[in-house]
Amino acid sequence: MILAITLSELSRVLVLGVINGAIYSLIAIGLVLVYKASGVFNFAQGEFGTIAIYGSYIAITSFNLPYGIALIIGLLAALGMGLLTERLVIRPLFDAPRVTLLVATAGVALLAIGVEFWRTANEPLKFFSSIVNSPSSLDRVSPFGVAVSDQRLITLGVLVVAAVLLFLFFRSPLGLAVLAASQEPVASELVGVSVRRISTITWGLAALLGGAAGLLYAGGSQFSPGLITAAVLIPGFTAAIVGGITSLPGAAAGGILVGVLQALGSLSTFDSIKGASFVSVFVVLLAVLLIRPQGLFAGRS
Amino acid sequence: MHSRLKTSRTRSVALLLSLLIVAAACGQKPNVAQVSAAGGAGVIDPDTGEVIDGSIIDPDTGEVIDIGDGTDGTAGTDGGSDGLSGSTGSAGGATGTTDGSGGGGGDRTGISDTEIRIGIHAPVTGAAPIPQNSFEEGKEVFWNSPDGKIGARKVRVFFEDDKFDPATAVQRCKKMVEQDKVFLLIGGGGADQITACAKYAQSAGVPYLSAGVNEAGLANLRSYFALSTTYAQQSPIIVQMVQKQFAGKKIGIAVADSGSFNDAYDSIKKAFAAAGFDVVYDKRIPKSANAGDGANIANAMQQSGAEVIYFLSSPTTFLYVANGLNPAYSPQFVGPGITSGLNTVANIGCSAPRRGVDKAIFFSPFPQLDVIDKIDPGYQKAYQAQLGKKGDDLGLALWGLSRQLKTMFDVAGPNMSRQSFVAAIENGKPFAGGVYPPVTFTARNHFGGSQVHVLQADCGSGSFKTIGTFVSGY
Repeated sequence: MILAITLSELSRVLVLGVINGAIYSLIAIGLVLVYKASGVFNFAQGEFGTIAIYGSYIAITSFNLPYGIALIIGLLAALGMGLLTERLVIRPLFDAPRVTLLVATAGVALLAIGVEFWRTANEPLKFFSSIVNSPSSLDRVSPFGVAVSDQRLITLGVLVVAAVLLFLFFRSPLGLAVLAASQEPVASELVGVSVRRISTITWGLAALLGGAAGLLYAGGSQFSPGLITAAVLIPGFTAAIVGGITSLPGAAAGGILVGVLQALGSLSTFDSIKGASFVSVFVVLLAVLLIRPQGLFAGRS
Repeated sequence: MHSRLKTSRTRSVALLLSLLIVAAACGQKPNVAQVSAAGGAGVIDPDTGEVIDGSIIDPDTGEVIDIGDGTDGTAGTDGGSDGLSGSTGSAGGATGTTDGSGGGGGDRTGISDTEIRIGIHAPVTGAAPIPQNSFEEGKEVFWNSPDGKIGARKVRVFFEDDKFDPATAVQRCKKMVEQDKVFLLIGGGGADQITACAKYAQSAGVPYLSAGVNEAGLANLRSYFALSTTYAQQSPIIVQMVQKQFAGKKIGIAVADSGSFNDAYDSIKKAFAAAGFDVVYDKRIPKSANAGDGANIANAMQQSGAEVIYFLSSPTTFLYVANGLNPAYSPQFVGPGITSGLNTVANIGCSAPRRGVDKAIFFSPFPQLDVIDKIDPGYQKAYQAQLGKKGDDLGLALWGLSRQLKTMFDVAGPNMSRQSFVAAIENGKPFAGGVYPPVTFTARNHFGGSQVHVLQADCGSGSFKTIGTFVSGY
């Protein structure tokens, strides 16, 4: 059975899996940030991405703004949604049971999807340009014979930059305050760290990461209401859990792992298993929860 | 440490449960829709879609009703002719004659002296999003035109978004039947949704019509009629076209992994094999693929060496695959379909740097806008007169479908009931509205189409062009 896999097929799967996994990683890092700060599984994380897409799209099509400016506007839209969610939904419910917050974030996601649909019902399927929008951008690089577009290379680059910036951030005083507030909120308040302000900052960061994931995912392709929630959120959740739910490097690595596993499910060897790509994600999730619930990348507690 | 691990495990299990609930809510589960659709327990066989014991249960009263075969001629006990009371004849009672004079009894829900109510469902959201405004604007244009008069009655159209989800489709169909009191239902697109709703319609004793999709699961439904050729019926025509235009090319087959497409998949495989084609790529692909899946599928197609690819999926999956093609690889896509040939697909596909949709050929029950003035000049005139603008291709789909339905209403006659309507259109004579190809139904055959329109994507204009009309073979 294994022998049926050719080297070229395996190369294709691995290359595309890593690139798709980068999107999952960005979403997963955002999920982990929020979880560390608020103890909430944020079901609205995907919608930060979709809102960013719509923000950029409207900036381009309705206001004829340059693509770069439109991307910034998209990120600002995501940031605005993240901050509003934190201020209007999370903060009033800060002391409520975590399950209440979980349901509240699901409500935010549904509201966002509703608004997206409401505003685009005349033409729900739209096209969002890629960052480099030319035929030559499609195969400038071909590792192992697999053409990789500029858009996908940029996606990988953004993941690396985000990982480095977060690494540096968590070694800064503000980053340490975020860590402190997430681990010992009462003690942090006693030493002058505002837990609520930290919550705002982490929701903002998570929203920016979600926005970046959305813009990179949709670039050069079509989009419709709820796109990132439908296509990326569950693999992103899986990546976060595989990574240990509180580990940012774990989330980044978990995303890549989930991307590769999902791509492996598309190997011709598994043709007889319907939905193998999707199933593989749940199998991994279940296996991690049962065998190593602290995640593959978490250290010993 | 132990307690922390326990807490972590509890949280993780809670999250897993949440994810599973979300997944369950998002995805279609086979047979769930039809089971939930049934008006009463055990009405529909979930495998075959057949009504168990050959009868139909009224969803309101639980009574067994007979949809009527047009031969018994027994008068119904309650014709419901007093308007939209929603009463259901307790016995079929249709005279079922084919001259349009019958149908005095039976179920006349949705018909009053001044109005006929019909319901349409189609995906506005989901993997095959269709512009809602086009539906809302176009749904009654034909019926408000001079050609759309049904005696003194006006046709009122209700529209619901089925979200490209069979369970939602059944809910919406049920709503239109039970609350809006429509006389019949129409499926606008999406094989799974059409199949699910058609089974519900059968259980509710409501006639159901759609453009041709699958045959499996619909073949035994007395109340279902395909208004154009089914995917399986299109398979030999597609192979003939490939033989004529792309002889000697290596073939690929990519069909969405949905049970509704099984008969299309089987038929195209057999047709290509019978014609002696070399099929080098043959795969069921995810029903709702994402960009990553699209790139994977496109790469696998390239590695197989397929030059002509039969593609049957949702429009968004097709676009993801077309956009994911490597620049050095330009296969010729061909396929059946209703929504793949819409201009929104060409427009979006041609906007991508890859332009993988260019030259793709899809069959369609309706032609494109480039030839409609020759086929039916009334379409654009009616749009201009009623809405002050040109109609789009989705409006054209509704217009053509409405024309076809009008010919059926005319045959069923002014006193039609649901039962007599079904019996009347099983008359073995062609219904030719002029836009959709003609269809002929008998009591044993509700898949009466034999012709298609042939559309080709043109990235020069960002739209589909009509390259063949009323084609029955090559």
